Amino acid sequence: MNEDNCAALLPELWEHIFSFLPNEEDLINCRKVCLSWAGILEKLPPPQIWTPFFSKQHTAEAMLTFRNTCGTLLESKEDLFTFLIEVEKRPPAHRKSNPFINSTLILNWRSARGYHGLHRELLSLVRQHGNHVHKLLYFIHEFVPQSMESIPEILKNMCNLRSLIIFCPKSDYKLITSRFRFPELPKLKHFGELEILGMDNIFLLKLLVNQYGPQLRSLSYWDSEPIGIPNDWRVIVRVCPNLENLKILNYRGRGISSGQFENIQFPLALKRFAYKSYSEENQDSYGEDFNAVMNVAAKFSTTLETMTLYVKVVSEDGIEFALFNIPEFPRLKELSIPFSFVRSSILPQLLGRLGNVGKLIFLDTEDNFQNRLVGKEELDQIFQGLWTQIPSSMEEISIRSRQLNKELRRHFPVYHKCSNSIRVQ
Amino acid sequence: MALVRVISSDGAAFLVSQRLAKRSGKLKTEIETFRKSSDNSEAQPEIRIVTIRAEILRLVLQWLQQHQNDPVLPANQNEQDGRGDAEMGQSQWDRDFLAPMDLGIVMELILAANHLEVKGLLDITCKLVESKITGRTVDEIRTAFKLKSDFKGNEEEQTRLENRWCVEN
Repeated sequence: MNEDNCAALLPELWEHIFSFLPNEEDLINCRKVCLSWAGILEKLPPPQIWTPFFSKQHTAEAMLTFRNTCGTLLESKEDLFTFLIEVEKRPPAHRKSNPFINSTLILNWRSARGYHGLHRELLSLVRQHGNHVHKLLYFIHEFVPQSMESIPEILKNMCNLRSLIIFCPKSDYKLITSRFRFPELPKLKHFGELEILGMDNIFLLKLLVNQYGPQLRSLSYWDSEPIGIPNDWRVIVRVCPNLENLKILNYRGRGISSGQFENIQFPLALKRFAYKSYSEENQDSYGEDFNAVMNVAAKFSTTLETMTLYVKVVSEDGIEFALFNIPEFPRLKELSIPFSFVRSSILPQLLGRLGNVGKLIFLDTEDNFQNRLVGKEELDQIFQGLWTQIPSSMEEISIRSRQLNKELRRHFPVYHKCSNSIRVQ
Repeated sequence: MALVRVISSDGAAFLVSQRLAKRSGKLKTEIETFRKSSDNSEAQPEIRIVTIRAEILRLVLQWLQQHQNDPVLPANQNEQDGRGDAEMGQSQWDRDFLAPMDLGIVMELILAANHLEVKGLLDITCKLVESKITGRTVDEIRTAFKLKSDFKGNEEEQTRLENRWCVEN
């Protein structure tokens, strides 16, 4: 083909072409093709990436999700007014175009002061430009009931919303719930992804799930009850029959009582499941034992493709759990478990149940590999015995750790990889 | 039947009915402009399209001919646009029409459809290009579109990281 044609195609046309891509993977690939494509894709709605991992500290995770998401970030009165002025300044021809970076709006008012008097401006912004928002990150302030009450009004003006992330920090939430009722929530045709960050928000989750449950594909929330408590689960499971991705952070880690779970019917055909449990007192101790989580996973083990478990393999007294009832995971392609599993006797048993797994990831939960290089020799030594036990389908074993980027003063995930093909050579 | 002469960048003239030509947003505007500026209401409009060569213009007109009885799609779907959910009524005829074209021709056709404001044709051609991206690796995409990576250092890896939902702290 004529080489000039690609370049001759206006960015708007590429945008049009990319907008047909239904698959996140393809969009991510396109971002990597060249700088100009990456630039064009920045303006498009963000791909909905479901990450199966949890960060080290849960509150930091919530805040960083807000700060580091690529989008239009409004954190104060000044931010909002500056933004409105900029939007007004645009030439008439562009007035109607998308003013939001990445079609994403991040409303992150952390101080109660910021809210007061802003309500009207905020709603007017949303009324004018809300249709361009595909992803909304929304901070609910526990002392400002208005921030909660305006959710239906905000959503009503975001007809193209695909994904909603709400952060409501631990609070005396009854103060809010007792004061407000959601009027009817609007219908959102494209909505499919809900993430609720913060403690004690199950009531909020229920409110939203009652309306949007059937269309949800991804759901992520924090839970204080063990996942074995049937009531909350029944509600969520019953009204979200189309869930593919489920991610739960249990911050009180009281342990699952395995027996209760037997009674719950799972209509779910989950493809991805991520579960982390820990107690607030000790973030490194995972409250739930492996058996209990396996009991849960057994309910959707035949459809599962990715599973991530931050659970413990050794009890408080240092005794390794005996395993029973590990289900078969015929479609599982990727499994992530804490690094402590590497020397446990559970691992071979577990691996025996995974027919087609291709990737095994050890989570560096104890920071053994953080901020340093891990050489081939070291990896070989760690995984030495492992390669003989794993299914032949396994392509890659890796350790997922983190690395400090000094300039950005932020940790990024790093993988220390050991791949089967390299090893054989 | 009122006719209009549409002339390509390389000088080839196509004589088509105004009814057909008006299915292109651009040609419709041009015809109306001509009407207003011309004293003689019987005069035959002549429109020069300086950016589209004969081969491509012929294809556009051919597509319009085939689809002349379709409902006109709204050019601007901004209010309720949907990513990846555009309902594409791609007929067998369309598939046969696009099948022999190489990517270069398709790209030219996209430009032409965009310039002439023919929404339906723009959609099927864009969809075709999209199908050359779906499921391909980054290198395959680069090869197909003859693009070169111009990322420096670890920018490529950074793109990946920045697009993760939760960044580790």
